[in-house]
Amino acid sequence: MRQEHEMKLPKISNELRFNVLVTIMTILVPFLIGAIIMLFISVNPIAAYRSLFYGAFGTLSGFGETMAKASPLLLTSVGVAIAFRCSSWNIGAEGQLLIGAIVTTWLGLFFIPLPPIIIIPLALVLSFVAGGLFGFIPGLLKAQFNANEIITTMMLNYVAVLIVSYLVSGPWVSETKMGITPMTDTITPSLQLPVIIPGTRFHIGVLLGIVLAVFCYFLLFKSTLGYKIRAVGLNPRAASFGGINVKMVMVLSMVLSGGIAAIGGMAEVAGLHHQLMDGISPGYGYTAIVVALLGRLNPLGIIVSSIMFAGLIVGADTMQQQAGVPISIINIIQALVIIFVLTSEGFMRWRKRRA
Amino acid sequence: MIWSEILNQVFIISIIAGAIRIGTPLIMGAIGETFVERSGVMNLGIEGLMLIGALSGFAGAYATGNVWIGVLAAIIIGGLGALLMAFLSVTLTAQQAIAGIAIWMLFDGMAVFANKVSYGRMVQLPTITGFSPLNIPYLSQLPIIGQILFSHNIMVYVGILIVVFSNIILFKTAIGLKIRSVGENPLAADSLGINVSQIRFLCVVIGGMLAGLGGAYITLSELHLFSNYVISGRGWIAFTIVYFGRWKPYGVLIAGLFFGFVEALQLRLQSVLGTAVPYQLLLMLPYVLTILVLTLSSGKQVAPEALARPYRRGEK
Repeated sequence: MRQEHEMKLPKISNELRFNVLVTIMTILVPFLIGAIIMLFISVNPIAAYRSLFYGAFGTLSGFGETMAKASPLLLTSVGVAIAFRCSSWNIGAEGQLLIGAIVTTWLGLFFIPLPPIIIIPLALVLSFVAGGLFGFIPGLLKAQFNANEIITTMMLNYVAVLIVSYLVSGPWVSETKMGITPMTDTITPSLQLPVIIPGTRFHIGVLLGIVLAVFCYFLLFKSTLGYKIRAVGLNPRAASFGGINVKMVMVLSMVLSGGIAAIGGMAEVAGLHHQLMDGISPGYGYTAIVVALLGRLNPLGIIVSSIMFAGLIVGADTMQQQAGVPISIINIIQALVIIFVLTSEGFMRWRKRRA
Repeated sequence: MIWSEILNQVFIISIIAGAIRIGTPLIMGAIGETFVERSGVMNLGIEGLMLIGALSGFAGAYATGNVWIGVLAAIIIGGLGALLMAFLSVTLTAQQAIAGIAIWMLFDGMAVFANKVSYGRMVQLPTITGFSPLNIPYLSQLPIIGQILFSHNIMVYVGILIVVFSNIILFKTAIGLKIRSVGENPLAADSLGINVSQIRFLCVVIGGMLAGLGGAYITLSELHLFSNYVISGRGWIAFTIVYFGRWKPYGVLIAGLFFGFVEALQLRLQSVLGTAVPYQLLLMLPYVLTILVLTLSSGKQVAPEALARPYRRGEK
């Protein structure tokens, strides 16, 4: 009976099972290597990973913190995924997030007073436009001049960090607040996003992210534009023969990508920090590359991988305090995840060719 | 008043000398990347390889007290790191853009991690006695050019030698011809019996060694200490210099000096202008310039034909 059922399973489900297995391995192996590194610095990896997991999901405040960090990660990763699907290697999500944060802070500090129902959507739209523009520049330079977008987006990241640094220590510096790093005043309460679980920092940013991720899933996989984006990503020459305006689609993918990443910055200011300061993003835009790749550039997969990586970031803090493992081990594990995603893809290519 | 301060002789000489000093690590990294790209691979991990090189160089010199051990350590670690890039991009034929990003993140993370583990508990920031200016006898006494050309630390001259040798290797030797043919048309090279994978492996590793050396220059010759921010973008800039230099060693030399000049100018202007101009604006200068230069020099016709395209045997 059971055997019969097994035999009826279509081949595709075998393939799916294999994919899930590979994805799990691409996460497990990096953690295993991380454990070996910990042994080298004489830390018990089991204890370290336990404190990591506990810090991320073990307490209500930890869980709230994880969900708060998932918000910028999810939004930037979905942005990255749209560009990557088009083979536009946008690694500028960090800068695009900062631009969204800048625009939102400006609205919250200097704009005319408006009720939340107006100012929050306004912040969303303006952040999207500003981030889109920040993505438009490298997109246009790539389409028109063949300028490598990895370099241009990376350079714009440095520029965005310096703009933030200039604003928070110069024209926007708070006269009243004292801190180690310079910061602005608190934004108007009407722009502050509501908190979901009282007593934690779990704000509605992550729900906003999930809604946008689902929207982007349909955009990428069920719309004509999404079809064009993926066609250009797979083979620009073929897409061009098929009548697609390749340059236009390329630029558009960068605009969408930058705009969505910038909403991540909007949610950070409006939902979490309520101000702008140096180091407002500890590299979410870079982690987003890993999250997007691990989610196989599928916005629905990214919802899962972003919450996982948010937990990793939050838990790493606890791990550093309790087990004495430097936080930067997370960066190593992240890079290893990409390397094993690539390795598994290479393995699958090899398997396909052999079949 | 400010203009008179900018346009005097001392200021100009110090900027030109500074351009050479600051340009050298960029040139080293970029020459390495020239080998990589000439063979048809694009290694974006150079930023991370430079940082791990900077750390290995420092750690080698700190542990042994011998700067040259530091140089050697940086070259070896850089080469080993690049081996992973070669495996991903050549053996697995992975997307080179993503492989490069992974290499950058991995070695950036490893350098930061190792720095914290090794030196994080020290009360004082550890320093080393690194290379100091040679002040070549007689020549360095010459007016103007003495200070510009003959008063540098030895690694600057090593850098120039690397440029000269690379030009000979790439354009005057059989191996150079093989490298270029693999980068232009791997299929044709393969049919002539050239081992495409082997050549690409070799070039990616050379690239990593030189990136490591370039990183070590910054800790051993310039700062004599390590922090997580010693590279901060120089790897990406070195990558751009390869384009600007048209994939030619002497072109890379000139492009590297140009970026060194801008950086030196920026640093001097910071001290001359004081608070008149926000320092962040001056710091943006090299980054904005990189975008402009890349845009203007990204014509398709001179880049190696097979750049960033994985070669899979039996596949067109």
